[in-house]
Amino acid sequence: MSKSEPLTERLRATWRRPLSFTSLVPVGATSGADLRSRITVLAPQIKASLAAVGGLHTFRLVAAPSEHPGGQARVLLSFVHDESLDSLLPKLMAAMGDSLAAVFAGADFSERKDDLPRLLVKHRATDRTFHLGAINKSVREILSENALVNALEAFSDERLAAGAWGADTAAETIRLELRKRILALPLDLELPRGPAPSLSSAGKLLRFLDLLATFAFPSIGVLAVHIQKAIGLIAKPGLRRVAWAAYGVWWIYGALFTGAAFLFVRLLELVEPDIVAAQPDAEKVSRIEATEDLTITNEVTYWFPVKPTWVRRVLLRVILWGSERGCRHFWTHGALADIDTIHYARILQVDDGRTLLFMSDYDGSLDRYMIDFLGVGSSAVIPISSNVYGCPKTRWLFNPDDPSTFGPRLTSLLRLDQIETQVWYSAYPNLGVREILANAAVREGLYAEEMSEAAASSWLASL
Amino acid sequence: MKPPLDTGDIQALVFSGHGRFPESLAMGFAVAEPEAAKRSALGLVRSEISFGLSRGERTRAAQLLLSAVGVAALGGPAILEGLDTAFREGMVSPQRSRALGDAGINDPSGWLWRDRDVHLMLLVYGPDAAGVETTARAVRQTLASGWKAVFELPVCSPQDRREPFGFRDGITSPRIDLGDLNLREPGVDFLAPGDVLLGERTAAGTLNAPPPLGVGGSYLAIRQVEQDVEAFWKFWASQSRNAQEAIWLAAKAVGRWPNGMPVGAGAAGPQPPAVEEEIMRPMSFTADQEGTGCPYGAHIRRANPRDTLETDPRVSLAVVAQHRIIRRGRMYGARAPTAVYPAGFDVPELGASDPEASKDRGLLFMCLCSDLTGQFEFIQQTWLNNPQFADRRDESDPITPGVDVVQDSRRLSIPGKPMRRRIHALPRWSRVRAGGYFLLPGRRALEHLLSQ
Repeated sequence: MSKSEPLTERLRATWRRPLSFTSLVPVGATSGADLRSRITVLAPQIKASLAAVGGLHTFRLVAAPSEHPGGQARVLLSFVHDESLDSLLPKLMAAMGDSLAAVFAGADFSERKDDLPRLLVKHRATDRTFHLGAINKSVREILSENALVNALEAFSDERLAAGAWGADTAAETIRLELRKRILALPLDLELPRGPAPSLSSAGKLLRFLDLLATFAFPSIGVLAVHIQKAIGLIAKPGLRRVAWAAYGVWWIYGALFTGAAFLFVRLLELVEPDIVAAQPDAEKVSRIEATEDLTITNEVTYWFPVKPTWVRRVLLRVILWGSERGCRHFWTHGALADIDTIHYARILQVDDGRTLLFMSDYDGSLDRYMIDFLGVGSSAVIPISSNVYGCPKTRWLFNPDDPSTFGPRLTSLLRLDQIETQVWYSAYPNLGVREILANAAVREGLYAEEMSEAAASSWLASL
Repeated sequence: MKPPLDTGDIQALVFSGHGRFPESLAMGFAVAEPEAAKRSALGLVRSEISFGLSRGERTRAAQLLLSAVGVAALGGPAILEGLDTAFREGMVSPQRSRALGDAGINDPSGWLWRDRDVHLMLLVYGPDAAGVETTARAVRQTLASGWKAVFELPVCSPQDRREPFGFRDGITSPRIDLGDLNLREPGVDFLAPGDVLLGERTAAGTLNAPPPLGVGGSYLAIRQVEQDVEAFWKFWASQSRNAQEAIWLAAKAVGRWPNGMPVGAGAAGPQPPAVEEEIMRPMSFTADQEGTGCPYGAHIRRANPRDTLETDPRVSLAVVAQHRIIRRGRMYGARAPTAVYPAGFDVPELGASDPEASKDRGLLFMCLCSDLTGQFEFIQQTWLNNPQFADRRDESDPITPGVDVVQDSRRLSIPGKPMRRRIHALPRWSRVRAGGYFLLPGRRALEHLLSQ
């Protein structure tokens, strides 16, 4: 791992990848509008170069608001990546350094592309929460597993059309035949030829220690519903029983603190005024809409002002810590609090905690995403958004105070605080999260040593 | 506490599809002279337009719809403030077209009419063609002052209840929940008033104050969808060894047998005889998690995933409830060319046939909702045209015309043993020929707009 990464990132990378990098760089006296048009002009060149870099899952470049009214305009550069920064940043510079240097003109660097990595690392902003839909999958694996499924489907269609398999052919026989066919293909097709590598022992140990650290925080009990769901998903019955027992014992330690946390939040909710946010700018919304739904995956970048009290800034920090723990240990089956369409969601607190930056790459329409926000994912979304200026009031952290108006008001607020992304790239814009996970499961099934007839039949149904 | 619905202020189409009146006519008009247009339309509202509940006393019906351009022409653009963005934009904009799959053969540049050009639409219903013509003549006469005619399209509700491909339609037919006033009928379930009417409480519990023009109103999404019946049956025949298998494959694509019976698991068998009770029984997919009966990619499962959209059936029903619509569609054009149906197809005796397969025919799809984006467009984009709906890979609805975002997802998987059967390269046998978003205003809102 690179010198550019903090130690915590390096340790976490042993058990949870890919990695995320975000930099927020002031670029001098440029106006926001000038910066937007500067990036927009360079966008085609930058986008055209991104695919050649390799190992980049997603990339965005945004003209971000200044920290204070009349302050310096800023460039937000953010990506999710496989390689270490030390090896990736030079590749980025080689592919699009001149364009990026032009984007960052006016920032505190020599305006030579060689000096850009230093600038980006210097202005790095740290994710407070980073959710991964497909954990420990590289770009290469994602694409090759998709190619594998395509090949399996094609073989299956061919054999079925030839009448080679009838209703009485054993599913396990078919699975083994398919495996044989894949392994006989030329190596240059770069299809996976075995199961995905499992986590190293060091990775497993570090993950376990991180889990223990999570439960050292006494108020993590606010995530009780999600913790219980995660325990229920543990595959090994013995381990699941141990987890239930440990969780039960933990409440002796956590009950008081968790209860106190809820009471504190409720008190805050009662004393705070209900601030009604302004309506979103129709022209801006129209410009954003014009960039949506061009592929299966979409993106949003939100720039939320946090409620203007230090209590809320601190509370948000604590909630984001909790949600990061949820992402690391409880929402690890492809869904963020039951929202199963998110590839990458990153939440940062910038400007000394006064701004909440939320970036997400998700599948399907924004309407669907909003419905998930307010429905199945509300237990993750509402606690975070309740700290945002203009968010309608909540009740006991997770619930809307007035359910009849909460949804429309929050949806309007989200459009109000959404900012335009000038450059957005995805390495697999038409592969949904669930498809990526299903492809990974097909690979695991194909290379499983043996399967019962029922399991093989279920595996075949996924092709 | 919200007062009960003022049903007399609401156009009758919200409560009834006017099934008693099989013949009907859709008439489109544009404003020629605004002041005269308002006067004549007001006369029409007072004399012809049907409001409120009817318990069989009506002898005819007429409904009045306005497009956003029409509203602006009559009351000025400011009056649109607060109405649905999709309604204000109209059905033809890059965003709307992407959401609806209006690309390729559905490209709106080739449409016959659209809401931008049709400011007012009238739907006239009667017991027979002569009755409809009598009302239509009165309408034409009244609107001769201030309006110019854009199009007329005769539409009907066939007695056999079959759409042109030969399948029974309109089985799942929700109604607005009127509490004590509800009529209990088999196959009917109820929607929260707010899912149809502006300013009422929705299934999700939200309650928004509508702008004055929206009070007592609902949105109507309309699409004229042409159906190529010959291409439809030729394709299924090309994939089959015999006529029975062709019908079975088409039934898998639709999700029901032509006679409306649920399609079950197992090999290609003959269509079971129609049993009305079974046809009308509320459908559940919980016993069909693998899709071996009704495939996940089938039209009816995509259009209304019911209790298997999410893992928990209750959560699924709650999510689906937020996107329900009330359909009011009718058939247009020549009657179905039943001669192109496969041999052994049970053409009902009531079905009138037109032997010419190439004639223009199809569905004038109409649906009521209170949120065009969250209901009508959501169903189109997230369920029907979504290549990854319910974990499909590169599939889209086999029946409806929408083009998906990837643009080449024309597959259908039919689960079976030892593996699914996959149908590739499904042709597009239906295409959108016209359409628009309209407001079905309440009586007081209409009178206020037209009296200004």
